Amino acid sequence: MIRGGDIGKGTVLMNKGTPYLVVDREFVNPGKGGAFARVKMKNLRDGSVLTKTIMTSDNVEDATVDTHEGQFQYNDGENFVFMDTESFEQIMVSAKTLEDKEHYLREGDAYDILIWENEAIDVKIPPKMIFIVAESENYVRGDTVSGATKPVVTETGLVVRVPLFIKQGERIMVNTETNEYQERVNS
Amino acid sequence: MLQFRSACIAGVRAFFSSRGYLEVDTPALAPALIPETCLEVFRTDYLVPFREGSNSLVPLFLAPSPEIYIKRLIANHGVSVFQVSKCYRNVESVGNIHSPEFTMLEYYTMQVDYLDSLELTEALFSSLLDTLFPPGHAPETLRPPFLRLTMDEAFSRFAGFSLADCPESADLARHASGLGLGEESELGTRPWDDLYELLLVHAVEPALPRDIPVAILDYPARVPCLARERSTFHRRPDGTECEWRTRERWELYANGVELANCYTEERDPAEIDAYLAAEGHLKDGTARVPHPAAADFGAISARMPPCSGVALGLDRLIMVLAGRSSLDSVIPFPLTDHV
Repeated sequence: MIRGGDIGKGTVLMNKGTPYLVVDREFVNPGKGGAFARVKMKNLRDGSVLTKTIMTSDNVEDATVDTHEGQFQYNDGENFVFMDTESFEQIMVSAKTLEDKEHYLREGDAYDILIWENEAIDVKIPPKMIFIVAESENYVRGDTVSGATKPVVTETGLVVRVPLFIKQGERIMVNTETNEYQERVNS
Repeated sequence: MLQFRSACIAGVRAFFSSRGYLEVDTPALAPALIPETCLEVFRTDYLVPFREGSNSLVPLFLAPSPEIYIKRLIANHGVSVFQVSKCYRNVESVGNIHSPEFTMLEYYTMQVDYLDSLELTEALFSSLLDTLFPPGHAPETLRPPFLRLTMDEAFSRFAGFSLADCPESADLARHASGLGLGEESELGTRPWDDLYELLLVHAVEPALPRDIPVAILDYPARVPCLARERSTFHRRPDGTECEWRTRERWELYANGVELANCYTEERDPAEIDAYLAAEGHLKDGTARVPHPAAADFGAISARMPPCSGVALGLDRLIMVLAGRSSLDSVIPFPLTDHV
């Protein structure tokens, strides 16, 4: 069992005998009394998505999930191939599991991979990542007060909107939950 | 972004100053607070110089909102005021729309009620949209007029039933169970206000329109707060009428994010003292950071002229104005980098 307040992204909850992977969790405190966890979770059998609201003080049934650290190696089209940093075995993650996360994977970087019943069900992406701007058009410096932005492409193929002063080759920090530019990283 | 944030705050100050509101600047440290069960506070200790032993430490608390000081100013001076200040809430998640330290805008207007405050807030939004953006570039999803829904209408529209038709816990438990929130028998053992909040969080808030700011008005009176209570009549599906007691309160949502909370301020000392006693009692049982309650708060509130106050999360407003979905983008040095 797990307390509602301890549920996070990557928790696997059992709902009527079916395992669900939590893909989004938000705490909400509407006023008086206890807070709630608003949870969006994916059915691990059929991929359907369900939302549930759980009191943070309630206990709900969860499933045991193993976490393995894997170094991202390459993408063979169907699978993303990682190497377990302890056992050096290959971990295959299907492209379908990764959906919109593939541009947050950088060859050689290590990621936590969730394994449930011998199958990789999720790859944890750090909430903030630093990327290099690989492609950027040069815009004339505009009115920054109005928050003007332009799209750039990172070395991993990620498209992010950034302020106009960002140039090709610069490093930027990106919030991977919202895919929003956070700041320029000087080093 | 620093420029945009600065321009937003300057725009807020210009708006209220031009309308004759006095800008005030109350302390962050307080020896006693208003008991509020929904939030935890930060405690610190003042070390009295040159003193040792048990009386050398004076506990002080970081104000979770400037309300306690602002109401004292209003009671003493009776003028409309506004304040931009840092507020501190402990046991608060650090995430896209939460931060334990945040910037609050509070504004109190004398001799008006919550509906006047809503119109004032619409004027504030119009003013910011017109001054911050070149013509044609403002985010039109924030443009007034706001969509106004009573809480009962919001439930009817998004949860599929009228709140006023559900006087018993069992009624709400049936609807909650129907929405897959648990077993009806177990839900039925919970208090009415807990179930109401569960349904609000699960069925109503996520369904609110995002293409227009939405104000939800007239909260059920059974949920205690320091907003004035009033009685209306509700027509049941069978045509009969019943009393439906609400509070003169609204909350504003933009892009699905809760931005502001407003009351017609309660001034009846008996009501306030009853609220403080009940809330203080609950808080004594649940608080992880216990704090003394401000003993004279009821008496102070009773000395205020009729007024309405709004508390607006300024970081969140800047975030939606900038078209962002995370506070990280608009708060310099966000805590997400550390916890």
